Amino acid sequence: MPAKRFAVIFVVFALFSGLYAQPVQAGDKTAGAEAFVNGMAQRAIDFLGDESITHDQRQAKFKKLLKTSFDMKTIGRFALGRYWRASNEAERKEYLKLFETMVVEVYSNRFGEYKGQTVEVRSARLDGETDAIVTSYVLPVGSGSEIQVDWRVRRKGGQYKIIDVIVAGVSMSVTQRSDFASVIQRGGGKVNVLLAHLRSE
Amino acid sequence: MFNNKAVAVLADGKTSMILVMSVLACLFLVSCSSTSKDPIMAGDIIINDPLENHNRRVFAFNAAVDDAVIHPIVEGYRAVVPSPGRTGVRNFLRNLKSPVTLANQVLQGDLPGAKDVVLRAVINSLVGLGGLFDVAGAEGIEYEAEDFGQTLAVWGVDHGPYMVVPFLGPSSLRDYAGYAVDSFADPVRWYLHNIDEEPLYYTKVGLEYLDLRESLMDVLKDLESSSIDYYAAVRATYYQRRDALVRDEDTDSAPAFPSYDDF
Repeated sequence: MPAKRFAVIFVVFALFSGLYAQPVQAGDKTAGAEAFVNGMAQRAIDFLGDESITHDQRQAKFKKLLKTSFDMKTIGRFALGRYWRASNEAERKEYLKLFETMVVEVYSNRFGEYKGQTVEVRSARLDGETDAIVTSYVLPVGSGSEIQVDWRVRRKGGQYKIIDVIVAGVSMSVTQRSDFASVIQRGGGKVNVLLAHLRSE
Repeated sequence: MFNNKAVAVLADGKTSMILVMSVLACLFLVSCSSTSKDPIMAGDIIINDPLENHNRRVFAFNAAVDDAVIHPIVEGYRAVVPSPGRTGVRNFLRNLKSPVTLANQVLQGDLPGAKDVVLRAVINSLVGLGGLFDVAGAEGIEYEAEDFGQTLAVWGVDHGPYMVVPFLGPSSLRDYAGYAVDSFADPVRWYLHNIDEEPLYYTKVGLEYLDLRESLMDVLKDLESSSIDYYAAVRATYYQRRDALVRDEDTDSAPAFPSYDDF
């Protein structure tokens, strides 16, 4: 009799813990990605708004943050699209190097015009095995509307890296891929044409 | 910068526009899908740009006009009217657009959205001093941009060919037709026409254009400096942004990203 009651309690307990386990696990998985985006944004804001350091120091810090927070290889490979397969080892190597230089340059210029905005991470969801989409909002200093910025964060080898930034529904990676595809196609389908452009940028 | 060449491009644009429009209409009717071997994509949308050479010429013309005329005007606007004032202008224009927005919400079958439009118009007109202040937005009833191009998309109409419209910029046959329908059906236009206040209507159109260009200037400059093929980057951005608007900016869709396991 007590054994039976014990079994019932056990089953009920198991059921409930089963019900609770799911959302807690999902929340845990996105919590890491959310904290990662939040931490990166706060660090960036800290030194972007720091008036005590020079412009060059700020750029240097920002470039370092970009290199450690973004998975440039994955972004670069995505941006090359179908032409990744069509290119050889040497081309890929040079492309990835040039791509990283370009992205770091573009982003540090973009955030160089920082005017005191704040970033608020509001939600996150899992997307596939490895990715989380973290939704944040950039809040303006004065009047004006907030802008939605989604970050695709991929977990690889226990580390989080950003692989896409989606501003108001427009993905940086998708835009870049479309841009590169057009450059290559108009250049007669040669990856070399893109490399030449990247070299001269 | 605004020299004979630019004017020639404009004249060329004008005469060829009629021709182009009729060609476009034919393309649209037979739902021409220019299936090239490897289409250029914007996420999972196949870009359909059969008039690319023509579009690139109009694009270059628009870029020249932006540099020579539009951006200096926007900079002047920013210098004269501080940010809260510009926000007021935007709120006021959005409020004036309420009838068109409402009609499109209803046509899309988005009844909660339609309710929000009505609430926003009433609250902002009465409490927000005729729409200058977005009181409803501050209370959580956010503005949602709707137009007939989006309505057509909800009804299942594809973009049709991509078009770059002189002075207006990137569009598609569907969205440009939608824009024409919205402008024509706008009750504010009919009202101002009936009371013989056309100049007021053109003032409104001018302000809308100024507001639009002000909101786009920084984005476009950024895109130009961060892209190799500016035309292609604007095109990809246009498709993605329109797609986000059609989905009412729900956050549940982000472009897919392969795992690259071999990397």
